[in-house]
Amino acid sequence: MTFDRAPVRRAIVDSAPVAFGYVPLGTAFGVLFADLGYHWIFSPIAALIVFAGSAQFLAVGLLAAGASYGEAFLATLVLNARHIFYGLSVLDRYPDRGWARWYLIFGLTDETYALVTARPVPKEPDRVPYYLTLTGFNQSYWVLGCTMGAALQSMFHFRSDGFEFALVALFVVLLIEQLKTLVSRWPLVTAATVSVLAFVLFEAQFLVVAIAACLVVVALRSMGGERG
Amino acid sequence: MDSQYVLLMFLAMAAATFMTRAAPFVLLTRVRSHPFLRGVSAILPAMIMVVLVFFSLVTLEYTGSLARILLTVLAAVWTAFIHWMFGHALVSILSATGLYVFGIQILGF
Repeated sequence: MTFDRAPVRRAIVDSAPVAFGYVPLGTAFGVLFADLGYHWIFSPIAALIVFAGSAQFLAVGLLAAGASYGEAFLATLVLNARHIFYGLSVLDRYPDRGWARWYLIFGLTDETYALVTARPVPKEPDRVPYYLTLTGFNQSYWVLGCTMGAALQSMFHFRSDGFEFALVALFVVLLIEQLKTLVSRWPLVTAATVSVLAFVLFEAQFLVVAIAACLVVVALRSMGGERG
Repeated sequence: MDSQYVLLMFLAMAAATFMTRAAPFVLLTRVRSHPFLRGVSAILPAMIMVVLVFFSLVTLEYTGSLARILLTVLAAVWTAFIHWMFGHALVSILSATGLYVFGIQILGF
């Protein structure tokens, strides 16, 4: 691959706003993680291999509860299922083969997705170096935040009660973003009803049951030929 | 604390995360333009978010006091309102979390 500075520089500039999100949120994760009592080094390890904000916040709860590996796997699968639909709109922009393709797919977070889809596809041969730099810088902000939060918390032990609200706020923000493109209201009413029912009936497996029920409802409606 | 446990937990979550991100690239290249899939991708993410908001709210810690419940509802409504008005994810998340932390740590709700 020939090295050209222009797309790299443009990607760094474009990624800068993400730093303002990833560093504080990563720090919040690091603080919560360090409070569990594990060595802080596992926080940057999570940022390097998982690289998913909501899943890592969920991990704090799962680790505290002593969840099994299977539960962690399933819960993450359900939690990140929205990525399946994100990937659809990026398919044509990403390279067809090579290590670059797999790193870009690995790093397709909510924020990277938002940046990639919000901007026109860079002209060749800038496309791949631009996307690689964008994804790499975004991940470096996340690793920085997760490292700082956990390392500082393991030294100073701030009182962190209430930090866990960051996960609720993150989901509310993602929901509002989804609402901007949603035309009808029935999916929201259905999802809320299903959530309450699943919580009352199957408290432990609530998340999996509720999302499966949403899938069934959407599938049934679209098979009925209705457009919504 | 058990290092092997935390490492394997993160590996399990890393595998699941990568699978969800890779799925459309591996499985859906041929069927992506199918109307069913387009219909689902327009509706399902919003529904999943509703479920996740509910899930994250009920898994918060509640002390049994009415003040804590009101604080939680207020912080959630605040997030939605601020994000609807200004559309800055970081401002919405940090101000709401700050409000919640303030209510718990300073006001003792």
